[in-house]
Amino acid sequence: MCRRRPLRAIALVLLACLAGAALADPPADDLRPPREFTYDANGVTTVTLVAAKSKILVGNTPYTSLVFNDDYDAPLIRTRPGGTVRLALDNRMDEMTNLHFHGMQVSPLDDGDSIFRTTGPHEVGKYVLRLPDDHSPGPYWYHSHFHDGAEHQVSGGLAGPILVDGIKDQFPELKDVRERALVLRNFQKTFTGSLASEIVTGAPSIRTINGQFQPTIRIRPGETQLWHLFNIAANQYFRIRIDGVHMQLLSQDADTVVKQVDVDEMLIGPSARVSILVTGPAPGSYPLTLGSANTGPAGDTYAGALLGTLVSSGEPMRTVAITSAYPAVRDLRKVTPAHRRRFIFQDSDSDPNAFFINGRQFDIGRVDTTVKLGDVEEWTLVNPSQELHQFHIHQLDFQVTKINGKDIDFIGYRDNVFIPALGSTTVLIPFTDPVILGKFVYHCHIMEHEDGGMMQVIQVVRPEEYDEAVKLEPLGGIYGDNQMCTYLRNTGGKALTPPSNASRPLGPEPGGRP
Amino acid sequence: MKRRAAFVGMGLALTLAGQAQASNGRYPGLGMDYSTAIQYDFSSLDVPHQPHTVTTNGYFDITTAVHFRLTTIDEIWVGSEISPVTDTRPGERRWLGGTGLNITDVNWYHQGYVSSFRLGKFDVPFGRAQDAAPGLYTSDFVAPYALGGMNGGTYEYRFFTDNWGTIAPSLSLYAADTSVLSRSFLRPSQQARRSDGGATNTGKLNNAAVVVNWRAPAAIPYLEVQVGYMTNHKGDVSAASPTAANEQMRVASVRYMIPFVATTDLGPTLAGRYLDLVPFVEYVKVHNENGVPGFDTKYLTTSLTFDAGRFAYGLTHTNKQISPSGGPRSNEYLTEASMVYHVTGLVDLALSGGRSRQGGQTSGLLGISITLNGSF
Repeated sequence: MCRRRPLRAIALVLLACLAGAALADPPADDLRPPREFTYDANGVTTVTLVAAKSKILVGNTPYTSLVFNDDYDAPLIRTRPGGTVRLALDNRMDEMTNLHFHGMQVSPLDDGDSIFRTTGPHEVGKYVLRLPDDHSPGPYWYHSHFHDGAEHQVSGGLAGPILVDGIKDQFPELKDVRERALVLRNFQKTFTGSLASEIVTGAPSIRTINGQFQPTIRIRPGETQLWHLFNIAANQYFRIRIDGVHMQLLSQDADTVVKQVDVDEMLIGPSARVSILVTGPAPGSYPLTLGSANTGPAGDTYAGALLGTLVSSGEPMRTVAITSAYPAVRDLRKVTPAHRRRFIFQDSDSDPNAFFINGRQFDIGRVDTTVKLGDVEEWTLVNPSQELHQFHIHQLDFQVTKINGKDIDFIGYRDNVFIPALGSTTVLIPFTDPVILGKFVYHCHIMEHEDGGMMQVIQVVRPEEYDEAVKLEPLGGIYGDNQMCTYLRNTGGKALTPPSNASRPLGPEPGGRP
Repeated sequence: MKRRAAFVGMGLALTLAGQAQASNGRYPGLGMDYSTAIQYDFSSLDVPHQPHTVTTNGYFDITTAVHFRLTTIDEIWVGSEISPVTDTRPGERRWLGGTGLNITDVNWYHQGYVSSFRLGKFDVPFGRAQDAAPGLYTSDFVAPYALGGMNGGTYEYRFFTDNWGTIAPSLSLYAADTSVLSRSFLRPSQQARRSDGGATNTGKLNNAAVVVNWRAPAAIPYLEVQVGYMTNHKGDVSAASPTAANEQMRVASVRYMIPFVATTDLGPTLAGRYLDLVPFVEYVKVHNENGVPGFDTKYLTTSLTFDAGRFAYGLTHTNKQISPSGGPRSNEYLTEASMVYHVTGLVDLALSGGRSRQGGQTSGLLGISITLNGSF
């Protein structure tokens, strides 16, 4: 089920006209939405992603690159809580690849969201993601997570957006608000017309929204639009400002905020997503400016740019304000952590391409950390380097409690956070959802650092299997490559049966443990 | 022996390359990092009762590191540098003169889970001033103990505990390169010979450096300490070095990084509104420097770096105390103030000025360089 959103928009307009509504046809110069795979009546989204070296347009410039479905503007996968995504990864490249479904709270086992599986050249990989009924709505993304090739492949184009419907269910007053996906990425310029063989974060690049160079985004004065911004660039931070335009943060990393948060600048780190409400300003043109960025003395410097232009015109519309209650999210600071750990994210002294966590390079054959299902842990992430790092953990969300030792206001969970240069970030991580049982990774999401080794393997196990799992850490843990058969062989236990379509905590509520 | 070591390294590497399969993503693969600098040096030599002698030298300094990737953790590194390989004469005005190509590295590099090694031609990891101290000229001043282009191998193991931080001892065994790779290419030059003498020129892996790097735990963050000991055998006694002696060195250095703006926000960093202060001190004691009997030296480098967004300001002073046996003690020094402006993510503009005293002569120094960094 793949179609271009304009068709859907035109169909909606026709329906609206038939109904006598006064909706105007979107102007031709408006930002084009990505192509979309959406779900059927049973909630199943069937997706085929063909990864191939293709001739594409990056903005207005022709390049040959590694992309999905012959388009630099990768398709959007739409799903819903309780839904299923059945995905075929048709690898027509001459190199291996795989997929990670960033931020999604789905099982890493078997054909789920496992980065330990790869799809060889000219092979087809299968993924089945079953979203729990209470899966958080909002923007997610998929991308290559092939170790030591991820930066190159994602920079080329092997990444795309996922949207889990449901945020309008949390705020029914937004039912008629126009929703947009703005997929941000940068492509390194080359003289050869091909994807750069080596990615240099500070090199001149083409910044695009939905693959378009400096597009126009139309809005009416007073109109409220819901924008989902996805940073699917490999390494870069996006610091976006629209002067004179009111913006309200609705979710970060697909976790709805717990109170009203107004913003005048959006800081979207590598892998981060935000959903914002944008209010149409007085008629006129308003540039979306991307600020220049500096990630520290040992980091990268890259130039600012004009990303696009917001054009406010037409008949004024009524502004929609949030009137519903914000979702109640448990503040994990009320929980006593079962474990406190510290992770040092450090650059190598002698090799600019090597990065460590606690002095270790990533080794896909080992497990570095074992956690009991049901525990809430406090992790302090220390950065003794003179450049930013960007922490991300797969399969779950966490709460940021401190940055540089100072308390952080709780506005909701997230799945990635920066670690300040010469600083620290403290997070509380709830390993409570049985759907995460299995093996996955945490790492710096500046992919140059991730590929350089700043990544570790974690296994989340049932409490009764903890001792056995720790013993097997050097051999890859109890799950092997996240295959149930390996798990059974290593434990002799019962098959893991995470509750289908539900993310209920196993055992007592962590909040009730103390 | 060193040739054999290099060939063994290459042979192992080729064996590994043969085992790699074309389907393994980007392996085997090829990449290259480069740095292209154009630099202009201006030095004014002060000789008492004589007019100043002004020497200028404009040149390219192009360094490349080609990586032949065998697996995600194994590479063959080939490093080269195109730069002047002959010194200017006092009073000379030189532009693009004396340029040659040197092969600086050819080694098998392995970066494992908790250990790493290099095997082949490599820089001995001993001392940090050559990299850590700001300025254009300090690295040359401390070159006598920053040994580069040696043949042999180095192995490092990283221990980490939450209480002790990262402790990384390393052992290097090496000898001076007298293979064809020791000569400069693109201009007439001579291959190094065993008869040239000098410390490490032994043809055997009987020269060693033991270094321990400590990166302090989170309780004392941003502190880095290095201590090390190096022992180099004298080269063959010859007409060039009739009274050679073994060389020993000891090094201790401390580097600390102090962030001045500890914010909870990401914005100030991205906007370049930060200030880090980085003091660095290194002390090196050398006995029989370069195998010259009785030529004992002590180097003390102190530096301060201010990193402020796109700018980095540096002050470095290195004092070299020379204590020849039976002779009077003397001091040489280099003091430089420097500034680097990161013009773009790839282009740096550097300016450095200072004063040095070497060989009984005092000079004023001024240098400017523009560097383009990148990769293919």
